[in-house]
Formats: sequence, structure tokens, C-alpha cells
Amino acid sequence: MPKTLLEVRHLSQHIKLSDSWFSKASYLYAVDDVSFSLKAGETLGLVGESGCGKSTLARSLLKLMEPSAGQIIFQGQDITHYTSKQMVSLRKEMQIIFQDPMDSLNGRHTVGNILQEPFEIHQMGDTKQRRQWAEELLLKVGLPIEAMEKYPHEFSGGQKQRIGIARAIALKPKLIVCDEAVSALDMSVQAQIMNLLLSLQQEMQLALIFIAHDLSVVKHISDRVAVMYLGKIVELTSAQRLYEAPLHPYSQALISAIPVADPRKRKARQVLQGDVPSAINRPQGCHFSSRCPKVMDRCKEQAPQLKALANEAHLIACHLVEELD
Amino acid sequence: MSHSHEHASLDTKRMEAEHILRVEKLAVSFETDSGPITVLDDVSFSVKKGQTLGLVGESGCGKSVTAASIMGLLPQPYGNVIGGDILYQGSSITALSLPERYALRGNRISMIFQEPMTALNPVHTIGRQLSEVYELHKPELSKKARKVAAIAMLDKVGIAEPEIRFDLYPHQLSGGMRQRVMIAMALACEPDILIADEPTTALDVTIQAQILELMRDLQAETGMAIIFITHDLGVVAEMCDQVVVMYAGNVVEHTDVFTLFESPSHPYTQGLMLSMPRLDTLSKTQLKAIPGNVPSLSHMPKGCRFSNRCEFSTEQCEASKPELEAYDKADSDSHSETHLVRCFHLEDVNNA
Ligand SMILES: Nc1ncnc2c1ncn2[C@@H]1O[C@H](COP(=O)(O)OP(=O)(O)OP(=O)(O)O)[C@@H](O)[C@H]1O
Ligand SMILES: Nc1ncnc2c1ncn2[C@@H]1O[C@H](COP(=O)(O)OP(=O)(O)OP(=O)(O)O)[C@@H](O)[C@H]1O
Ligand code: SF4
Ligand code: SF4
Ligand SMILES: [Mg+2]
Ligand SMILES: [Mg+2]
Repeated sequence: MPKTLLEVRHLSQHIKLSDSWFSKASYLYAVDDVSFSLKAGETLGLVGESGCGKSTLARSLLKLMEPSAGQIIFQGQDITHYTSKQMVSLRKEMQIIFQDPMDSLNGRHTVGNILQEPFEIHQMGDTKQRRQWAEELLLKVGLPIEAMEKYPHEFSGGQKQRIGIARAIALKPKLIVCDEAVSALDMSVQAQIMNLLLSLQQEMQLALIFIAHDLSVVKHISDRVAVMYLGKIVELTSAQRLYEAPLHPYSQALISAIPVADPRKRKARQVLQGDVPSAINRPQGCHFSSRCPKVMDRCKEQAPQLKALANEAHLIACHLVEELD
Repeated sequence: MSHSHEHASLDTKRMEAEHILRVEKLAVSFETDSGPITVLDDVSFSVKKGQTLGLVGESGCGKSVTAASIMGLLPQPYGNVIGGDILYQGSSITALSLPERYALRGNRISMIFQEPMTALNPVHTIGRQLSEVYELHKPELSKKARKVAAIAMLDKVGIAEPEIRFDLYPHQLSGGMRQRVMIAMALACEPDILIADEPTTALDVTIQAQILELMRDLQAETGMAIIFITHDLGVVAEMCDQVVVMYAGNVVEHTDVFTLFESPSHPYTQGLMLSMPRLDTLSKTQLKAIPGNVPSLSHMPKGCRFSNRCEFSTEQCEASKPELEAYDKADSDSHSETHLVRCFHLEDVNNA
């Protein structure tokens, strides 16, 4: 039985928007009471509407943002209140690939320096050794050695993304949070990177949190998938089950909207109707109630709790399912 | 859009008028510390009014540079068009003066950039930036009317609470919201040609569907031509009429969308289609990536640029460059007016 690597308990990230002595502070519930756990060697996919809090959750896990509430337990240690100094040594074990690669690449450094830096920080190898490691990393992500002497702006979108990936795998971490890590890549390079992540996973029990909008990609790489809506997890189950029989109406809408790679099967994709709510003014009761095609009276008053289905590792937050029970 | 044979019988003159944009044998070079590199070499394609042309290909193959060339936004001073031409409504735009180019870009050709943060100004609110587009494009609108129009456009691209978001700065938005702000800015110009560089990669599929629908509606209304750069073959299948496949600065295949999916003919295109994970691919197994990597631009093979990775490569492929030529696959009921492929050994490749 692989060990639990990461445990997230009731994590929240409430961002204060306005605050002055005459008006009440308003909060944006970017992440709200999120709990899940992740085993070594496992991949948890994270999908959901744009703006639902995936990147915020990712940043909080690595403590790039101070959580407003909840706990993060990594390798048995409660790291929720670690100082940034304490986090430096943990960075060796947990890494992030940012949605926007420029967030992690210093534009004034050459790619060679960017890739050698992690080894310098952790005092690994000598100059020659570090250079060799950096070159090996480039090859792994399919970039030529000449890239060493170039600067990030000299690369295409997908090439920059691959530099970010090379940097993230440099120290052989136990966990990588991949925030849209492969979405800027063409199918073939994307397949290459996914193959690389899968084999790293087998070799060294690498765990992944994999955020992406391409649902076929998420399905391919994930063991379990969590669906988020307005800061909350609304469904969490095995990848297989989610794609075959999604239960939450939002998950159903998402799965049915996957574009089909066949021009003869063009169809009008289902677009959700109703007011798109925001994390600032969330609808009362179930946050999806303003757009849910199956909304009932009680949905508008009472928020459904995330509950496990009887006898199954399938979590869902929807009154419909409670009624089935 | 019809893809029938009737089109082929149109007289060539009218066809010419329909092609709102033509890129002809475009070559672009970048000066780098280690000397000049040819980023684009012999890139040709054309787009018709009201049509959507997909641009797909290997990461780093030159799609964004092609877009930048059309926009007149190659990085200065080191990025230059060294050959070929770009024609807008039949006349060359590569030789236009800077102010003329600027006017064209503001009004007739607009672009959704791949990296929103390069196009959005971090120190201005998104509302101000969007209003500025209206100020340029519809000077007759009052300040108040501009704000109303801007908020309506934010709403159209699916931004919740547009009135509140109007006053936010780019860093206060999620990745997908920034992308939609940029889409809103590009569409606000009501351009003749919209270049969309990976416009929906940061969007979930339901919002993606909504944005694509919005683009199609606008296209139906205004006859705008779209050049759609994407890696998502599902989106290509849904949106595009014609597709150009690029590899290492070359166009390797140019065909209609049906032919692309039914009988891709260039070995690179075939490899690309095979590496796509499908919902029925067995999870967590190795995908079929094309073996090897693209050579660096400073060490391109002398002959066919795909030859170091191609299983059909011969001595001829290593020694000389194939041209982009018409290909009629014997057994396919071809839908295309033209199916262009750059490969010496199409018979072997497609009968294997
Ligand atoms: N610094 C900030 N100030 C104010 N609001 C913020 C800030 N950062 C994020 N938000 C808000 O938090 C919410 C969640 O954003 P986040 O970036 O986590 O979404 P996401 O799920 O990653 O979306 P996407 O798929 O578009 O990348 C959004 O409503 C966003 O506007
Ligand atoms: N400013 C620059 N200086 C030097 N080389 C550059 C510059 N910008 C791009 N390149 C090079 O030009 C080539 C084409 O880049 P381009 O951005 O057009 O690729 P792309 O097809 O858009 O790729 P992606 O799908 O990854 O966005 C790449 O190999 C890249 O390294
Ligand atoms: S609780 Fe009600 S509104 Fe919410 S998803 Fe379920 S049925 Fe829809
Ligand atoms: S020309 Fe030769 S190397 Fe190039 S794609 Fe065709 S068979 Fe392969
Ligand atoms: Mg995000
Ligand atoms: Mg690009």
C-alpha cells in the first residue's frame, strides 16, 4: 500500500477585495473548504470552470499563498504554517509547473542558468556536473543543447513551457503540481511529456496534481479526478468512472462539452445556460443552482455537502444524489 | 460553408477577390548571437472571407511568428521578412509604412495573443484597456457608451459580474479570464481578419464552446476571416474549413478539414494525429509520440526538414528539399479543391 503523501484538510483561500473603514470588506472565495489526499505515485486530475480556483489551490499547496484556513500535511508534517525559509528545503520535494511559464522563468537568465540554479540552491554537484545535468534535462523535454545559452524570450510558448517542466523535474521531487503544464504543446510533444511524467512516476513514485482543461489528457494521466466549481470540489472519483458516468450536473455538462476530433461529427455543444455566478457573489444554497438544469427548490436554500456514495470511493455534492440514497 | 465541387468551377477572378489574405513564400529570419536563423522558410497559404483556416504543427514550428509577420509585429530590430510577400485584399502589406501598418492592425486585422500578459497592460484596469479599443475603433461613441459597450462585450465572452471586473487589473484575474479579456478586445474591433493564437487553451470546455460560438456568430454576421492557431485537434475539427500543417518553419500539408482527418498524407501530419490521446485510449499507457526531436533551427537538415525523424526517409530526402505540391490520393473521394503536401514519397507513405 503506497503511503499518503499529501493530505489537504478544509483548505480555504479567501481573498479580501475591498476594505475601508466605511464599507464592509468583501471577500472572494477562491478556494473554499477543500479536502483531499494523495498517495505517492498517484495522479489526481483537477478540472473545472475557468476561474473556479484551480491555480489558487495549486499555489496554496506550495505555500506560495498563505492559506486563510485549513491544513496542509505533506509527508506526515503539518506544513500549513511553515515559514518561507522552511519551505526552501521542501521545494526539493514539491514543485510546481506554472500555467504561465514566465511566472517561473527569470527572463534575464539564460536557460542554462535557470536549469542549474536548483542544483546550486541545494548545493548538489560541481559546476561541470550541474551543466551536464542541465543538458540532460533539456534532452528529456525535447529541446536542443543550444538552448542552454539562450534567454526565455527566444523560445516559442510551448518551448518555454518545456523549460519550466525541465526545471520542475530537476530535483526529482515527490510531488509536482502541473498547472496547465502541457496545454501549450502540440499533440506529439505533449505525448512525449506525458510519457516522461508517466515513466518518472513509475521509476520514483512521483505523485502529480494535474490541472488541465483538455479532458482527454486529464483522463489519460489521472487515477482520480476532482471536479471543482466556484472554489469547491463538487465531485471526486476514479477517472474511469467520472468519464463514463459523471453524477454531478456540472460534471455532466463538462463531459458532454468535450469537442469531438471528427469534422463529420460536429454538433452544437451544450453551453450552460443561466447567470454565470462569480466567486464574489455566490448563489445561496448550491453554488451551481443558478445554472443547473436539474435544480430543485431545496437547492436554492440548502448547500449540499460533499459526501461519499455508499460503499464507493465516489464523492459528490448534490441533493439529487442524496435523494437517490 | 459548403465544401462541394461547385466551388471549383468558380472563375478564378472571383476566387482571387475572395482570398482576403495571401501569404506567399514567406521567409523570416532572426538575428541571434550565434548568427541569423531562418525561422520561416517558404510559408504559403491563403484565407477566404468568411472562412476559418486552422494553423497547426509542432511547438516551435513558427505559427506565432507567422502571425506576427502578418500583424507587422516581428521583434525589432532582429526579426525580418527576408523573402516572399503578404497580400491583404490583393495588395502587399509588407512594404507599408509604420503608420499604415498601425492603422491596418487597429482596424482591419486583429489578433488574440497566445500569452495574454504580453498583450495586456498590467498597470491599467481591463475596463480602461477595452474602452481604449472602442475609442480607437468607434470614436463616435461617448465615454459612457464606450463603457456600456465594453461591459456588454465582457459579458459576451462569459465574464461573470462584468461591472465589477471592469475595474480590476489583469493580475486579479484567472488565466482564462485574462484570455477572455483579450478575446473581447480583439472582437471589439470587428476586424476583417482575426488571428487567434491558441485563444482557448486556458478555458474549460463549456466556456470554450461559448467562445467558439461567439466567433462563428460574428463571422456569419460580418464575414470575418479567422486564422485559428491551435494544438487542439477537437477544436480544429469543429471550427476550421481549411487547415495548414507546419513543421520546422515549413508548410508541410494544406488541405480541407475533412481530408485532414480522413486521410492525412504527410508523415508528420500522420504522426501528429496518432499521438492524440482519445477518451478510449487505455489510461496511463505510453502514448505514440513521434520519435526524436525537431532539430534546432541552426542545424536544420539540408533536405527535408522532417528527414531525421521520418521512417520513410531516403537519400533523396536527406539531399534535397521537397516542394509543396498538389496530391491526389487515388482511392479517396477527394473533397478538396487542392490538397498540397510537401513530401517526395507520398505513394510509399500512403500505401504502407
Ligand atoms: N490576486 C488576486 N486578487 C483578486 N482576485 C484573485 C486573485 N487571484 C485570483 N483571484 C480570483 O480567484 C478566482 C480563482 O482564480 P484561479 O486563478 O485560481 O482560477 P483557475 O481555476 O486557475 O482558472 P483558469 O482555469 O482560468 O486558470 C478568480 O475569480 C480570480 O479572479
Ligand atoms: N524572439 C525570438 N528570438 C529568437 N528566436 C525566436 C524568437 N521568437 C521565436 N523564436 C524561435 O522561432 C521559432 C518559431 O517560434 P514560434 O513562436 O512561431 O513557434 P510556435 O509555432 O508558435 O510554437 P508554440 O506552439 O510552442 O507556440 C522557435 O523555434 C523559436 O525558438
Ligand atoms: S444540488 Fe441541486 S442545483 Fe446543485 S447540482 Fe445538485 S441538483 Fe443542481
Ligand atoms: S520527403 Fe522524405 S523525409 Fe520528408 S517526409 Fe517525405 S519521406 Fe519523409
Ligand atoms: Mg489557472
Ligand atoms: Mg506560438
